[in-house]
Amino acid sequence: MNWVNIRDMLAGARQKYLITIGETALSPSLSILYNTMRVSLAAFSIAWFFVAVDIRLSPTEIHILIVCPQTLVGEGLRLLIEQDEDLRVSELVMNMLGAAETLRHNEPDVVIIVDEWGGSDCVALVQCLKSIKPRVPLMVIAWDLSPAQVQAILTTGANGYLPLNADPGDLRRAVYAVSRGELTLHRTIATGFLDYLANADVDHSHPSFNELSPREQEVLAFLVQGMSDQEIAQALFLSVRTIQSHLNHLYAKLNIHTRTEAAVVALRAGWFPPSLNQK
Amino acid sequence: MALPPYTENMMEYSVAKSRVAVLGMLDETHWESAQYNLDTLRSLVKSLQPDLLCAEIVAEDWQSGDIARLPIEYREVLVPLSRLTNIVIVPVSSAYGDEILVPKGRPLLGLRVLLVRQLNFILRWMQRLAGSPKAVNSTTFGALCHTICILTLWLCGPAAQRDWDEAYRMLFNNILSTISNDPMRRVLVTVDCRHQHQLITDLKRLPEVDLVDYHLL
Repeated sequence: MNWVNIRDMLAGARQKYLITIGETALSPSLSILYNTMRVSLAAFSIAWFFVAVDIRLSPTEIHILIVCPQTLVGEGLRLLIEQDEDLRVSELVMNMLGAAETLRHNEPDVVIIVDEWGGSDCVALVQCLKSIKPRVPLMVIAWDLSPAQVQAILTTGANGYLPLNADPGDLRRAVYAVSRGELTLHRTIATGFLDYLANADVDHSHPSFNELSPREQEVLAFLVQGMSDQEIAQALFLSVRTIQSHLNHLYAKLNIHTRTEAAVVALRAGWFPPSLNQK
Repeated sequence: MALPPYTENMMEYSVAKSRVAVLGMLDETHWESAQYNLDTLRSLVKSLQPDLLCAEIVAEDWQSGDIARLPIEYREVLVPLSRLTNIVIVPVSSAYGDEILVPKGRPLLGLRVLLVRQLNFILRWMQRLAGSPKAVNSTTFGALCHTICILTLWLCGPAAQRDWDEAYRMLFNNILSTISNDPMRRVLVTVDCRHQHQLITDLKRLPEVDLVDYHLL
């Protein structure tokens, strides 16, 4: 192929991509501009398609199951929660049986129980739901703020306790914290609850503090302060997997299943001063 | 004893080791507008997802929580990334500075200062040319960095050499204690590229460490 052939080939290519409108051919520079715009538009459309698919498939939303016996309260909660675009109430059920059935067939990220039953009924509901899906975080919103009731609920495995008169912002923050598996107590409850635990008789039903390894004691101290696994790992300069392994050993030694239970056991046993539980 | 996931299907691992990779960084140009592609670093570390990231930052700076004092790579990429993922940052640097200075009272002081400045200039020029972690971690770049570092230390004299060695020794011991405290994890060590050559040589000697290239971590 000599130089003349290459020139002819380029001229042919140029002719091929020239744009004609009716009988009039656009100038080469306008044709290039037009073709560039066309290619850019196509590329942008393809990119937009992939971004849209990615957003659609990304599990960014937190799905919530609300158990509330009163329709108006439940719907009100739904409206307040869904003001945050990443929170979505996927199910709203009115009774205990419905809650158990719904949880059995769904995988919500958080369960919120509005305690209208009070006392042992709510504790039984928490126990029932925890037995169905032990790993789903659960939060209770209630009128009853007595430390004994809070303790009973937390000991059964709930991750959070909020009063019904909590601020909507506090509610949404609590949902996020609970969805991460953190222990969340509203400030109006925390002080009284810690005083109650501090004054309660020391619980001897669990192994003594010295039976835990020094590392487990450290992890437990951070856990009582409400720190997440990542925060504990960063504080101790250990990997998150190592922290989770220490927690599993801790649960086995204390014969419990959740971090909330671990915190309650530690506080009840008087292993840490209540002032430590202020994150 | 359960083996870590990366050893599950690999018969050659008779003993579970910590998997360690060293990633050279451009600490010298942190305070300049270095032509360093931070997006590449971000996507690289995000895809590696190490369990622990031994960073050449001073523990006091890290624990003070004032990340504005950290080099740009940590400030803009690694610290934000660690907050979004399960990567745990471990500060391993000593309190010694990384700048190598000619001590006063050395013979031919003026000439030595001039030569050290020229070497620093060459180092910075090389660093400006290297636009990505891949370039900084190439064999040629590492060898040149190491050579310039040796020449600079030779010009600065035995006192500067001692300080540099002491800083390196503390860095190495901190990395070692991180690996021993949390064995069988995937560890990424991010250090000044001038330390990289020596560090790789020393880590290779450790029986508890399986040293791999950073992209194989």
